[in-house]
Amino acid sequence: MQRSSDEVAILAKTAEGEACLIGRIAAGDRRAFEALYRAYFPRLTRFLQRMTRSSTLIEEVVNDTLLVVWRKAVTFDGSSKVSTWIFAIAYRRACKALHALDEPVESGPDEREGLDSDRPEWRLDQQRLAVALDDALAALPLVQRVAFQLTFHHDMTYTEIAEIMECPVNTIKTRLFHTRKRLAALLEHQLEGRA
Amino acid sequence: MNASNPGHDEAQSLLPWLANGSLTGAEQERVQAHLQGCAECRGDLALLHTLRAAGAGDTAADETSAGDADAAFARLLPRLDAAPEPAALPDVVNHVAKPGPAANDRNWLRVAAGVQFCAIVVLGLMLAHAPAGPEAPKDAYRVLGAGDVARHGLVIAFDPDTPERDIRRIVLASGARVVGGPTATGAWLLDTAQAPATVIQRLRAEPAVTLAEPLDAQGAP
Repeated sequence: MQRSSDEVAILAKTAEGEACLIGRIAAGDRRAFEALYRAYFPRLTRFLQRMTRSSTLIEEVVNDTLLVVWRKAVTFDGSSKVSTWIFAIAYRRACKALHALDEPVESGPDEREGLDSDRPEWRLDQQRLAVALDDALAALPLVQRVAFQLTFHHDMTYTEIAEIMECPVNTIKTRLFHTRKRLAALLEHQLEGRA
Repeated sequence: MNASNPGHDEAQSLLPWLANGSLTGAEQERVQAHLQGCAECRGDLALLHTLRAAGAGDTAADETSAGDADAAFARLLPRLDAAPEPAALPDVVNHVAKPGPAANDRNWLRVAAGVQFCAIVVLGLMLAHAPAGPEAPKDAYRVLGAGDVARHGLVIAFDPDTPERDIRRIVLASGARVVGGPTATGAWLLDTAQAPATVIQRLRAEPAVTLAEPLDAQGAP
């Protein structure tokens, strides 16, 4: 039983394995679903944290998204990667949920405070930059933030991002161009002497 | 962007994907070639590497998520039961699913919803007429004592903080299987082909089990 569970979990580590899991889920295999769930829970949570800081809403969107995967697995035709399909569902769900709540672009205080003072200086600088980057991203429009995050935190191609955000590839390229110029301006002081 | 230099424009529009390593083929070669002679693009690429590293260093969210996954999955499980389970489709197992009827076919969903509704009505009637047990929580026993569920039917409840994986392990190790639940009171309905007293003894030995009772008179302790 344990060995079998491990084998299913290993499938969630590659794009081909994920497609195989979707096939099993379509046939009602709950172990396959659990393996996919555990693989995507942290990825989707991290993705959604750029859209809202409400942990309740994040879990709600993650579970809604994966429930759709459970119900609609049989419709997955392999024309896109499983990750693109799932992130697209999550993005639509999150937009819908935020719209329903009329939640503004969050820009609350960063939770990562009280850094260990005994960490190496370079690490502290990196943490400070990460905090500043968080704040800068929070000041951007949602679509720019999402495009930036899918590019730099999830390493997706511009084609995949265009598919997820349901817009032309050139729109994504232009969006990223403006996003990085804006970030460079917002982070000017933190980036001095780095690049 | 610079309209007089198409190579520079292309590089500027593609730098994010050169930075994240997803750019391939001719595009990658063109951008790399342009970088050789363009200090501005090299500077922008270095900046993007810095921003990417700053974001990648944030692992706190991932660690938190891993800890929360069990609880979130446990909360999703009842919704899987409520949802029509994907029908057995042997031809789609182990390869990418193709669009088709079955699990998410609208007509199928209507039928499933109808069957579920009927089941709810029947269970509701059984619940209303079931006698309450002397020891178990009133609500739980009313649900589980309902009718002729199984000759070796059992009712079991877990500590609310028990992870789903432990629930699975405990049920499997006991020699029973889940045939219903969780109910609104958090109880599960099991049945077993083994002697109910033995199975109940195994279940009660688990600290996470807060209730384990037979549903039939013969198996009563």
